[in-house]
Amino acid sequence: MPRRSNISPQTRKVIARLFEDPGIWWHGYDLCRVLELKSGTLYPILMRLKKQGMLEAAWQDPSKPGRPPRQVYQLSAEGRTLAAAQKAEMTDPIIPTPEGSPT
Amino acid sequence: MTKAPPFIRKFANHLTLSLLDAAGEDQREWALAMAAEIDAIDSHWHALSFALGCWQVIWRMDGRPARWARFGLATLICSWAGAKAYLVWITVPMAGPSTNTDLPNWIPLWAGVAGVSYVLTGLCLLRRRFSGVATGLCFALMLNAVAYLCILRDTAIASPWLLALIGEDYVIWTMILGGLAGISAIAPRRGAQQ
Repeated sequence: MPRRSNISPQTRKVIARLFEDPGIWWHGYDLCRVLELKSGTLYPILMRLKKQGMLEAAWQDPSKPGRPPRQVYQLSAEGRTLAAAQKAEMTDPIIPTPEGSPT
Repeated sequence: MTKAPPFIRKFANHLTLSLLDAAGEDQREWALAMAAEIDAIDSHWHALSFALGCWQVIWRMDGRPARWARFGLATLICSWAGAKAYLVWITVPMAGPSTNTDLPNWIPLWAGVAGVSYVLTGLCLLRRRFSGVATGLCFALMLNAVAYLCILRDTAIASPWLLALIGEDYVIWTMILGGLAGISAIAPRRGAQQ
């Protein structure tokens, strides 16, 4: 039986959400709101993904004068590959899905 | 004239600034990113919640410069727990019917339980389990507050040294919180030296 990767559920949520709209750059706070994760949970995930090369980060010019530039995130090519594999893993009929996860 | 920000926003801004101070060189970019997000949040309470979470991230990552401070605080907590345990040891014989003291029997037991709670709080601090630290401190403080209120209700059993000992808990708690907040100012210098 293929081995399921040991990514945490929160990391899976982040990867899945970023994979839904691969061309969109996300702010950290928007990800927190959409995924209902605290900043203390989200940012370690983003840091880990960026360190592993799964995430791209860029600085965005401020929308209002006097505000600092904000960092935005999207999946890298490797991250999109991982996300596709993760999605396939979740829908594979051979591998049982964990209880409560979307099918 | 611009309106002054409310206290919640000021506190969130202060946390943001201390976040930038506390972050090491390799976390600087992430600290700037988190600080920019806090600035962009319109809701003051959300900004504070976000800032507290970001502080937790930096604290966990930059453990090396703050390690000595955590050990110091844990030692302080456990020393106080030892003092409370000593209180149990010296007051239990005094609570018998043959003594003149009006100290009720449950006071030393509560002091002992609070002492155990302090020890567990110290262990949580060493392991960087900050929710455990908050829970332990609140629990010990609650025990002491209840004991204090009961003693105030019945002033006949109020002992000056006992009241001072229970009152000291509030001082210790303030020192611990002040110490945790002060780490943001001292940690970068220790990190730079290392």
